Amino acid sequence: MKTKKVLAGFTAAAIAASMITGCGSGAKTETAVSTEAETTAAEEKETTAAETAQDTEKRKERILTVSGNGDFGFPSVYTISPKGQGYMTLSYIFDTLMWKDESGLIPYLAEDYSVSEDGLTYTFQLRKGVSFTDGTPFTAEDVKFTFDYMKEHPYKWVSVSMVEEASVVDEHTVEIKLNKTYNPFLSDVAGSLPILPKHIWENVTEPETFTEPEAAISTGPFILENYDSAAGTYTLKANEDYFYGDVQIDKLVIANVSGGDSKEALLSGEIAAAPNISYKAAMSLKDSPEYTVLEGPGLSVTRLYFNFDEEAMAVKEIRQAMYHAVNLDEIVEKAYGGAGYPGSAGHVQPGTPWYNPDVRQYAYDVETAKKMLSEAGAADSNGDGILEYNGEEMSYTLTFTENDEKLAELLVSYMKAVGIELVPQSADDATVKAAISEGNFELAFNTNGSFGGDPVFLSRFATVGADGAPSVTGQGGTTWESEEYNRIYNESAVEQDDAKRHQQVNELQEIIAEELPCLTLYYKKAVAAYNNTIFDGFYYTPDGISIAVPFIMNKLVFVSGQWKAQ
Amino acid sequence: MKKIWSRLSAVQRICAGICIFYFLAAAFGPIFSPFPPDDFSSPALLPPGRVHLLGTDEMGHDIFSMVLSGFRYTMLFSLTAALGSVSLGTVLAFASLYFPRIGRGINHLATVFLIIPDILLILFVAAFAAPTCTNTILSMIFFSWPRVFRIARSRLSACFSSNKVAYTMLIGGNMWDVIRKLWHDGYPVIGTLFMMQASRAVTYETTLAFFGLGDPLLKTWGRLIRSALNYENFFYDNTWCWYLLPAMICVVVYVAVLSVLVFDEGKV
Repeated sequence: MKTKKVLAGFTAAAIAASMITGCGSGAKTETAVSTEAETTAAEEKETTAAETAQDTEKRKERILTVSGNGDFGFPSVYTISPKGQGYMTLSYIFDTLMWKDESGLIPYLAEDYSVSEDGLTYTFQLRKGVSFTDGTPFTAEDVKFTFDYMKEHPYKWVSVSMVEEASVVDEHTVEIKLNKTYNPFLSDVAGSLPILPKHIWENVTEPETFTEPEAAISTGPFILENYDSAAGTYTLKANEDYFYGDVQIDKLVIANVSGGDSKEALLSGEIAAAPNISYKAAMSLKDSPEYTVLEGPGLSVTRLYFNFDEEAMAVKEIRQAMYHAVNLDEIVEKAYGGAGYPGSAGHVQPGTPWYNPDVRQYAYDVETAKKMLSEAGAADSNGDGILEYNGEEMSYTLTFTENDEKLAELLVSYMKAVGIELVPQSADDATVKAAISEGNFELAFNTNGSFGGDPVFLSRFATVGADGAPSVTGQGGTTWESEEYNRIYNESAVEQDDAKRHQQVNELQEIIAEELPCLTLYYKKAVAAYNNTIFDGFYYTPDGISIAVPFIMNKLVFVSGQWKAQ
Repeated sequence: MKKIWSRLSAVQRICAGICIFYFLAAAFGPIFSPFPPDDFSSPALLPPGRVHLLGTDEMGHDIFSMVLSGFRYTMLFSLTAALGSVSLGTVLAFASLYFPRIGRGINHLATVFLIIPDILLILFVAAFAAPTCTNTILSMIFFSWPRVFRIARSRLSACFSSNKVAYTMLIGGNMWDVIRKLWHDGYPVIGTLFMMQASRAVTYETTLAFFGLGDPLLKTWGRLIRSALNYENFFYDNTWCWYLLPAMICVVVYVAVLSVLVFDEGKV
């Protein structure tokens, strides 16, 4: 009997010891610690098995499972999908010079930074004592290497075209020279560009196919343990030497939930956080105390695109009339169940720092719309209920993504009410994006993410000299063009004075609201739910992680949050 | 008419009755429809009540009205597609027998079409063609005639070798004389084929709508089933009882009834 007890205690202590080494001080000390633990166990023969078991319980491995969205590719810089969730997963492994926490932009791999008077030179003092997870120290060489490498191999998420040169001042100081001022440099470039370890990447010539284990080594809070592309599962283990603090969990699993129903998975305990839950499902969890529901900013926008080859579409007054005919509030309610904010004519979302509240708005008013259409010269002369403009029937196909039937149905009925016929045509997302970027449509709408933060996103309406801005799905074919807009945009992109820039951005919004190069229909609200009895402390990053990624799982959450489960 | 009715078994009578009900619903349903099927002005997600017999969907459509309008679309689809494919198949079957030279070619073509499952071809075409009602029906007709062709051909070829047809041809009767003789033996098969194709067409349409192909805004039963399944809180409240079930039952009953009519031998 007694031998049994001792044996049980011994085993429990051994397990406990391996746990300690698991989350504690690293592999080197493992042998020493476990030997010590065994000795202690042998000494404390009287310790009951129950007590020891409790000890083990306390040190149970902390595994946090969150729902992902399937396979995004191997989690290395060039192989993971250049979309929001792909970047977020990448950010758990790779770090940047700057980062955003709950309050805004903070120096991160950089300890401090300074900007020259002319806005062309950025000097970063790097953190000392940081090393990559393979043990190699992180230095200014790696930063310089990353900028050089990305010039040679463009990275889809961040453009470095505005960078003239990156140079090493000393081991922990790096200087970045720009060829022209770029206002969002700190947040969108320094705060988004993942630093590559030079010693691993210097001989890599085809980064798009580089999926060796060392391709996923960097300084971040997590280390890649397993990537299962078939199941779309990423298993990451905590980096014990993480420079920014202690990671509160041992393992992070980003998994595809079975059946794709994240609410069901959350309720059954399959996952602890559902960052991509549907709005309605999240709202239904709002009253249960163990689930926290966070409503985030609207960082995606749904636009209605016009083909400017259509004679009628090129007429400003007709576009304005069409905006009057659209009931923006009803779109939010009926098509999206309240999960968003109605569109604003100036394109910039109301309530955000760059919003101009004085732009012209187009209230829902069918009579005004009809009047404007007839003033613009559209009339129904053959009595078929559809207007004609210059002898052509105002009947257009409306191209949209297949799960957006609700919005399509609303638009069809709004346009019908003013005498414009829309023939709905749905296709998959990629086809619709391609049709829009090739100008191969008559009317189309779709939703784009990464919409927010610095107003460089207004570059999509500038047709001349708007490089350096992140490439968003632009419209192809004949587009709207305004010299005045181009001039102001290009001035605003390099303007250093904040007040002046605000003034310019306000003017840009006035032009957009007046000219309506596209109709802004809806801003989608991000929503997430998590089980706060397992892990608490998630937050939405202001303006989104990196470039407007609307997820609650900023990597710093895993340092600042609290593990709640037993 | 009375003669046909008396020949039917009890089960067939019930089925025929249901079919007649479907026709009537398609013809006169919209008169009883409390709301236009594309009207979304009602509050969203109401449970069944006096105003909305089957409640409303997420946008505020009256589900009862959509189910009713589904009768019309379904009948339209199934009858035109069946009529088209049966006519095409029968005409080709006749042609292949009457003009043996081209007959072989048509026969091979039909074999090729039969090898590939027709639903795949229809899905393929529907995905690339402009999503209109007409295109969907045309693709159904175009890809489902070989089945009709095969059955009709084997039946007609038996008739061709019968004495009266052989005699008609011998005395130099033209094509119309031959058709007249054949019709007498052929029409029961053609009638059966018509019902088979009608029930298939509904299955096709529902499948297409379920995959999001075809006219995206047409309120067919397939669309209704799709939007019901897309509704997130489907399993939590009892919404599926009035959102999904009615449309589902309508499709299943229609297909089942037609199948019974085709396969039940009746009292002979």
